[in-house]
Amino acid sequence: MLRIDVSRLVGLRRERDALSASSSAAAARVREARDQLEHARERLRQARGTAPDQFGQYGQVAPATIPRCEEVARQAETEFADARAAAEIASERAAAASGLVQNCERVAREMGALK
Amino acid sequence: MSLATKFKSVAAAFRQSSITLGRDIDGLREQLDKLKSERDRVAALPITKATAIERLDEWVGDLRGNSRAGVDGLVATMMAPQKTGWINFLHGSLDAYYNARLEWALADHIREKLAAKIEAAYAGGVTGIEDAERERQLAKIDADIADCEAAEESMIRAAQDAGITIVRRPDASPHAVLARDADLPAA
Repeated sequence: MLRIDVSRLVGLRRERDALSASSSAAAARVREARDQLEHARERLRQARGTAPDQFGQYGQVAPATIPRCEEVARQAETEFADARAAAEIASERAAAASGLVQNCERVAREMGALK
Repeated sequence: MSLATKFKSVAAAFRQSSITLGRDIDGLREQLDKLKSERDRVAALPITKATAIERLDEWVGDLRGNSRAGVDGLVATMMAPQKTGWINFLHGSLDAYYNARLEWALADHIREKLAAKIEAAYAGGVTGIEDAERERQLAKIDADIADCEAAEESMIRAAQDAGITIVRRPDASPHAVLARDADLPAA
């Protein structure tokens, strides 16, 4: 049986907190990307004349902007998908680190090295 | 050699070390998965045929013992001067009443049939294992798992010291993760 060094928990908790912060930041990026995507889609609908602009008018956005709006919406979709995938990985890592710290704390307590 | 060339070769060497380290860690983790699968397999191996037959005999012995008391009671009921009592008793729990007596009457037959089934199962390719042998094999696998976990933790720490982050498995052994540096094998 390996002897344990309870001070190692400090580093593990620090890693867990860093991963948790990364996960929160990634979740914030997902929200931001979703907002941008919704905005891009709205702009596209306005350009196509299927949604009112900020003044409640239909068809006031130049139709020539449609290809550009489509391009922006496509990019926003890609960014949103990427952000969501990154957030999923970050969340899994944070959960894994949290679980590992809990296991280590339990074992340290069982061995009388931690109150 | 210019400074830029030197940095480039250092960066390339660092990148190569990272790749090698990553492969080594992956290799260790694959080995761990195999060991854990092997542990599950050994833990689930059936007992030997002889032990299975011993268990069967023990169970049939219990069957006889439990039903004998009920049969003695039935015989006494048959011999009683009034028959009212046993009729009421029958209405109480007919199934349990008859089952207990059938077990007594058929215990040898049940034993014979089950023993034949057990024999057939082992003859069909089932390999049994003695308890002591199972414990020996599990202890060996556990020791190998502990060695792998210690080596993995040692590599992760070496990587961290070199500025490379390798995420620990969520089910990593807390004993390895909390182990003193001096107790881990050199990476």
